[in-house]
Amino acid sequence: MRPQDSILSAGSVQGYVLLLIACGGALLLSIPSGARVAQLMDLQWHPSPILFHAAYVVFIALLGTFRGITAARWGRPRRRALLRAASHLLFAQVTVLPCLFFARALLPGKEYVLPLLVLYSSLAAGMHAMLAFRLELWGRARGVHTFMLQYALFGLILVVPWSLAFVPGAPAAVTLFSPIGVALRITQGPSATELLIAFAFVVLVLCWRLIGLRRIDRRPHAV
Amino acid sequence: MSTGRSLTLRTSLRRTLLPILLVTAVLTGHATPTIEAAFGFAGHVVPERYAPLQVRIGGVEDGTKAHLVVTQTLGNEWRDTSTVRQQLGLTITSDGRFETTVPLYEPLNPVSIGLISDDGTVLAETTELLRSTRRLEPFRLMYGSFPFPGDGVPVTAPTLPSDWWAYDAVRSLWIVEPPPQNAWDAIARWALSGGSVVLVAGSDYFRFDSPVLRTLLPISAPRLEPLGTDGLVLVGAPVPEAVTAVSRDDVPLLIRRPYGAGQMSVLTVDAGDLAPSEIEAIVEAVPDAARLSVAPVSEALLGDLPVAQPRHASALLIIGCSIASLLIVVFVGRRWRWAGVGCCVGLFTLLCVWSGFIVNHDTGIASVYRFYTSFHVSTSFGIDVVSLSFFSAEADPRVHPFDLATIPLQVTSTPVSPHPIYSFMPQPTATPWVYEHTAEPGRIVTSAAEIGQKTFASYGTSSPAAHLSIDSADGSIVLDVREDLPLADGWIVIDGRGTRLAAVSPGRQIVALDSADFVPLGALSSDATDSAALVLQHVAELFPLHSGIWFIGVSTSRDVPPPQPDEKVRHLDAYIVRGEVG
Repeated sequence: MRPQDSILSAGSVQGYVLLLIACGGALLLSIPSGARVAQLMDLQWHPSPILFHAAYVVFIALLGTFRGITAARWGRPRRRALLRAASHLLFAQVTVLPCLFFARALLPGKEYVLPLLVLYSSLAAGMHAMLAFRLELWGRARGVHTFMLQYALFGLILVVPWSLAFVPGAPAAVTLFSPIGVALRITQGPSATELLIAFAFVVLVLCWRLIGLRRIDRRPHAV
Repeated sequence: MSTGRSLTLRTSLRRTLLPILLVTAVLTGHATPTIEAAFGFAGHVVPERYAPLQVRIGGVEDGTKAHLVVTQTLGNEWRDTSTVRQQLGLTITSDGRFETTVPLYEPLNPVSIGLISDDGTVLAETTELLRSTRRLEPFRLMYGSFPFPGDGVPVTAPTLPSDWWAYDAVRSLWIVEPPPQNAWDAIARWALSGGSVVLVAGSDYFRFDSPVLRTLLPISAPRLEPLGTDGLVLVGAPVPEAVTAVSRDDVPLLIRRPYGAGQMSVLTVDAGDLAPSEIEAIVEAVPDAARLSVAPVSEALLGDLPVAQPRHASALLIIGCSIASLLIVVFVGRRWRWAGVGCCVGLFTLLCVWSGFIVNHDTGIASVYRFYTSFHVSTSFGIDVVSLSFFSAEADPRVHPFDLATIPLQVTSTPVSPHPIYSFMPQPTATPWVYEHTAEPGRIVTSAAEIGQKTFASYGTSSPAAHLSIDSADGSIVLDVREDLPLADGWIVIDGRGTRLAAVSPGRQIVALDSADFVPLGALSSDATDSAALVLQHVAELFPLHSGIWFIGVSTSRDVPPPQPDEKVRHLDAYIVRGEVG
């Protein structure tokens, strides 16, 4: 029997396989069907090549949330638990790398997308893992079930800032607080300022939570 | 006393200050830039066709560089609206006159014409209301007066355009007065492209005579002969394709010949000598102009382009191998930790490299497919017609370059049935298909609009690419190819029967042909490539290949390096040369 926090535990492997299937499905959907342009014209639905990139960031962030929740249940010291969760996410990234390399064909001439997206998605997954971890600890300390709250928070971060892009007059930079918004900007060619805002946001949330975590660890009555 | 002193003071002030103010005003003052614009022929325009635009600019220094921007708003608030802009750079001349040709799509709304400086400042602006002079169908244009049974639009010498495609909205051009010599060039090229020109010459013919006109005329060696007691008639040897369209007894009144894709007719007697019934018969006998459209060819060839994308099977293989590798890593890693790590590194590195190889081998996905079809038509003159059909799988703004430095026009090759919501509208319109774009000489910038296929056309003038002649005495054919044409297929067609040429090289060549090799037009395309066969079929529909001698050459359809990596661009050129009988 593998320990629960092992990278190769049954639950973890299930997560990786699901991630691969989900990303693979998005990759297949991103490739248009049809051998001739006339067939493309007849299609009612034209999948965008950036569908894969948005889906990849969403799924890796979702995996981060899963890992954050489970890490809180491992019963290890917080920092160690988080490090283990981070190693799970890194392994997940390794498993989807072949798909990411293949997805270069979806955005020809945009070689910068792959490293930027991998870096950003790793940070975003870490951020979601951290938030889920903290929320789970908070719920356990108070005996509250946080299952719905976890996914509500995940959805909130993912969808709300991005959907503001469709509100007339809303500042465009707001979308950079959503991993979907950032993934789309990266595929479209972001400016240096946009990249700075996007990365600074996830790093700040990560640091803020990490510092908060350290403070809790120092308290003698910390759970 | 004080009143008298103040009066003197006021008078002296007026005497000194007024001249100073006047001089200052003259020295420092700037005239306000003004712009006046005139579209079409006396304002007569047809939707979705080109129209000449004459602009007069005032109050701007000579040599100033600026941009002329024509903005058309299509539709209204209730329906979808789209804005089409045409802009072109110009240098202001001393007389402030500027002439160009722009496409007009739906002149129901006022058309705005602005003069914009290089830094984007609006120097002058005006609007043109064309609603009352807008026509739904091409119209007859008259240079000089002719007693038409219908309504013709008069045109004067200063408004005769110099671009042949400016006659796009014209059904037939009636030349009753001798036009300026420089107008003949555009008229001849328009006739070559499918225009219909009628020379109302009669006994006045020698006032019209010019070298250009001689090449168009359906008779050679024209001369005047008496007609009845006091009249004169224009006679001459009819050229081989000429036909008498209207006659009085044995005297031909209207002689017509095909010229390129168009028609040239000549009236042999004075208009005043014609009976009303003869005028009606002549007007009926004059064929309508037809726009030379390459859109069906470029759209068909675009549709036939192979899609550039990675294969689904390759993606499935990568996904499957990734899952299999993961399971192998799990299997090994659970037993031997470090072996698992090595297995993970090795397997996934291999997969990444393989994935990279597949992607490098397969073409990257293309979001935009463009097909340019160019028809280069030559007789003694040359015209170019370029059609760009593109399919965009993404609603992103794009720049589509054009080889010709003229403003492109969006065209539709097939009639678009109106959406049911527009069906009860009193004004027929085709604007729902017009794309929001900015057209400039040599390029179009499309906005982020719907996904789909669009076609634009552009017209231009060129020198003849080749010259073809046949000696009527010995039947020898001389083909003089003036430049290195990238031809894949070439045919000689004589009176509707043609033969394939083995090779066409640049320079003058005597083509030795066996009459047994000539086959009907329909059989010509059997040994041609698909694209060449399609071009040949379209050329046969546009040009009167059943009479005269023709050379048709088609290049290979070739990929050109796209401006963006996610674009696929292909070109095809066709050369149509009408030969002369020596």
